Amino acid sequence: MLFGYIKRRLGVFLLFMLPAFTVRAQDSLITVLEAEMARSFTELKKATVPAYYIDYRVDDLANLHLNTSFGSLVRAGSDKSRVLVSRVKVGSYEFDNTHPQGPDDFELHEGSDPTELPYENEKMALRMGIWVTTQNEYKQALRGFKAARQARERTTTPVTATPTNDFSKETPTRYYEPPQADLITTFDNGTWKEKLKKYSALFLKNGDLVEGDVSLQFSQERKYFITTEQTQVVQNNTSAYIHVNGSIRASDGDVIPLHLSYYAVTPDGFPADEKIMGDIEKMIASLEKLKTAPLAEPYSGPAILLAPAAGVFFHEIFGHRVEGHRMKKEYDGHTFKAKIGEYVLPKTLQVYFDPTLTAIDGKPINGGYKYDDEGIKGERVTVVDKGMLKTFLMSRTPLENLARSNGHGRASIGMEPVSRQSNLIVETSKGVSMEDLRKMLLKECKRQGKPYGYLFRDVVGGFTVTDRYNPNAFNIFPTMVYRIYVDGRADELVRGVDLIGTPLAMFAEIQATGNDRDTFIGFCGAESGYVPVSAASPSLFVRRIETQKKPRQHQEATLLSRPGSQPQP
Amino acid sequence: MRILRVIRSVVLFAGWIVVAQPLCAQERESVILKAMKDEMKRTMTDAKYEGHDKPFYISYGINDRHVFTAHATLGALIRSDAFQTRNKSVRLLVGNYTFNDESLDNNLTSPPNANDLSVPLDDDYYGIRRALWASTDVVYKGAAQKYKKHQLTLKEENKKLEDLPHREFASVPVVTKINFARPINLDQERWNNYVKELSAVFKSYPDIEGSAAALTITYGDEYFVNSEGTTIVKPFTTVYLQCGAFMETEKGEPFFDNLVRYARTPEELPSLADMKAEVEKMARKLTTAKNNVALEEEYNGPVLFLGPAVAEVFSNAFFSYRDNLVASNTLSSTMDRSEGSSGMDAKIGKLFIDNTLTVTARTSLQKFNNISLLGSYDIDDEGVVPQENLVLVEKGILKNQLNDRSLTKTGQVANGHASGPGVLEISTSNGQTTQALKQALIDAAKKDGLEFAIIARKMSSGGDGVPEIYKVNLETGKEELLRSARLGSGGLKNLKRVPAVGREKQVVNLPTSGGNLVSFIVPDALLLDNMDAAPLRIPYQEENKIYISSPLKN
Repeated sequence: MLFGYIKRRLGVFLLFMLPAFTVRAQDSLITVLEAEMARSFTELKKATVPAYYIDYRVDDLANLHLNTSFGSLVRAGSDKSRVLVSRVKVGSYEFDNTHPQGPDDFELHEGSDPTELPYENEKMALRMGIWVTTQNEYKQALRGFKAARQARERTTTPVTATPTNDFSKETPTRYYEPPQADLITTFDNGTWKEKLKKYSALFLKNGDLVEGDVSLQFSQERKYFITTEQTQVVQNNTSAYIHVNGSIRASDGDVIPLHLSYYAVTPDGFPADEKIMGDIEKMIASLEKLKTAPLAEPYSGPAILLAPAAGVFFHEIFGHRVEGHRMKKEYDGHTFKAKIGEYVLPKTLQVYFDPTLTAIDGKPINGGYKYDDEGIKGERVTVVDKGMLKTFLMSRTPLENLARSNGHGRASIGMEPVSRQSNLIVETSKGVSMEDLRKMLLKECKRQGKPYGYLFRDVVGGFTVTDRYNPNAFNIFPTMVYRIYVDGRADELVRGVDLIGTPLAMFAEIQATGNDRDTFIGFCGAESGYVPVSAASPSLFVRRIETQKKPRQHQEATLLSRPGSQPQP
Repeated sequence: MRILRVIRSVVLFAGWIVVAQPLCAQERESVILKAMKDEMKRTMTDAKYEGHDKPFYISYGINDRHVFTAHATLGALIRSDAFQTRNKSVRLLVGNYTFNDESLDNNLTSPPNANDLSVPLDDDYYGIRRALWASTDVVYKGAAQKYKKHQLTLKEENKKLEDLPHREFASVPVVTKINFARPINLDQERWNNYVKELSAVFKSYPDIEGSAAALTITYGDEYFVNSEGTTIVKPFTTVYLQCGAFMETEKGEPFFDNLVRYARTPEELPSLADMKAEVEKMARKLTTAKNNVALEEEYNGPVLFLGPAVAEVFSNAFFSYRDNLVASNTLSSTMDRSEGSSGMDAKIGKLFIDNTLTVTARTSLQKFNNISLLGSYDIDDEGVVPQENLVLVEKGILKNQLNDRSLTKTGQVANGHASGPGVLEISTSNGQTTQALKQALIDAAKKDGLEFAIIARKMSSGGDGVPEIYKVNLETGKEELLRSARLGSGGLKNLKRVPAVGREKQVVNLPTSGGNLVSFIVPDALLLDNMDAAPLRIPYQEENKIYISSPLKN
């Protein structure tokens, strides 16, 4: 279902099972890429409709995974692969084959399929793969250019806005990182298998748990990017994730999930066993509480979003609406297109995206990179300064008054880049304590005549829709939700709640921010695939939110007890 | 009710791995068997679903698979992976052998279990039991509910069971056969190199735009236990090699070909030199295909089938249509029955195909003329030993069908074919030489007033390349490979009258739609009348304009 969001829904999720990858470092590849690019460009420049730009992006990948469930190893493996995606552009920077063709042009440019190249550096095999890809991409560009020209000729509406280029002109970049040692084949499989089995065996302690999975993914990647503009970027990336998924069956049969996730650059950066096992124990304790928690009815009223939930909230309702390329699509809602220079958030808030960060408050974050997937250096971009919208996240798709990329052209392997979020940071100049946030909540509840407000402690992800053909709504999936009662009762854990709303209404309801900060780490899915992102925010007090019931997954109690419910010696 | 296996594999009994079981294997496997038996016993004894009957039958299967794949193009690896998986199957019946939860319904699958547990890769006793327990719980509840519904249906219909189309579960002997695979140290580098070398052959063919070679070797053990006492451990291997290539003419007309080879063990694959020669031959044939003469108009007349095409004709006729040598487990409706069945059961004892042909299932036969029969098995997926030399068609008269333990028609018996047809021998009493058959083809075509005749050497129904259809000059006998032709489907009706059959026997292994291989022992030639052939037109959209020259031509 995650992939269902790619085209039209934009979502962020804790990464459960998305593929990640690693590398082989043999740089004769770049020599072959350069030679084949030069040869192709020479020939395509002579064509009747000449190419003016070619790029090649190759992801050289190695990946391993270990999956355990209730103390048993159930999946293990590793693989390596090499994927090429190319863009060939015909026409000119001003008007090319990606030119928008009207309201029905749902994608600027679909591009051709990625090509799986040999991971061995056999020159002719590589050249053939590159040749086929380049030629196919050129043919597709010709079709796109022809259609764009025809669309322009058909256009009868007067052009009111200043024309913008279809592709930005950028200064060529040269950046090279030497190959890393192979970390995948030297990975200590045996030790980690035992660790993961030990972690997931903790779920055996409770017979009502129906899921108790712990998995590890470790990826090593070497990324090559070259263009006919003489850009050449070769960079390395490693990422490691541990995912913990637990579910419990409530007495009414409702299956309630919780998730934990750890990110590190390499597995040796993961927390110690004691920390992870302690977190799992806490997760199990939370699941046991959720088992008997009441189901919540739909609600509208005041709420506090604790920091990780607030991060996802900003990612969905705000972040996707400042991705620049959307402003060029006629079908997009253009929530902020005409609002640069206007106040869009409370004046106490700053919002910036910073791919140069590798950690926030000492916690490793995954939304960083040196160069984006168009070979542009990742820049810190302040999108909102003291509540005022300043700019957008830009790829090489220019906008009026925003002619250059700021290094946010991103894509998953084999996809074409568009402007995407990186590390989102929301900062406040007026943070208040949690105690004060609660006081504000209770005061507002009384004002609205509500017996309680909501506290959203944790979330697993969310999604939003930005086009103008569907309701411009967002949906956030909380996992730990409490009622805070006006009458002084203890906070009450509830289940079955999803947080919903529309963005502009929600911005106006943000009343206060906490003096705390926490970071959500996940993966964001959109039209250029899944990319790693993080979102850091203080907690928020919101005057009015709306909830709806969460879809239920029902499961009967088992007839027999689970075998080996306690870890065996 | 049953959970279908996620992956059904070809069951082979490779001599090179079915050697005496080493101690470590026995110890290892005993954990799996013990876990299966203990969980089954617990379910049979303790499982109680309030208001429903207890199960009377349970079977568990675990398929422990090791998979190696290598995929290369132009001499370089694209992928090379090795991994292990363990799949499970659970079947549980509520009621009795005559009337149970499978008796009145054609849907035999269980509802999905959103919280299913995978089978551990380690010999983890409790982990294996948990995986079986999770599935059993769901399957049992579904089966019990369905059985109750069937009881109600029977009551509402106010009929005796024998008056309703229904499915019974056959009683079969208990089998114990434990035969562990010897641990294999697959020489991955060797097979990577084999695939790379084959893929490198295409470097000499610059007109070919895309090509690849891929090898998949799967091996391991299948475990099966049931509540009747059957216990089976059997090793298996499958080897699947394919080499494919693609090109387009300047007008954009696509041409492709694909070589497929199966083997019992990697060592039984053709030698690298022999296989390279085959790939060379395929590449040459592909690059000259555009020069072949095209079949311009439809053809109806005699066709001589030679080589693999003979087996393809029989496979298509016997297994691709509703009237099938594998007994259907699908229940007909009461209305169908009242109107008189036109199914295969009504044809038992009647002339089915030409009276010169006899069809025998020789499912456990492992070799014929020293050639491996890759479809062979000696115990099926339900733990039943296949009946030896089961005559299905005798001199054209239908005698039996291949059957598993589900019996839907009177007179059916479980004859051990839950894993598919296995090995099928087609015999004739009056075989002729190929030369004589070719002359008979020419004579028949002349008699029909045709300008040419047709020989088919390959129909490629199993994805093994493109059809090899030849146009035969009626005067000279000269054969020309046709560039784009396809033969009609060739169902049972084409076997009603068989003018002539080849004298020599050949072995052809073909995949079935279920993924299992079937080994055919068939005559080397088959002449049929009244066959249709038509031009094969693959649609293409645009000319294949080359903007950048191929590196292979550069």
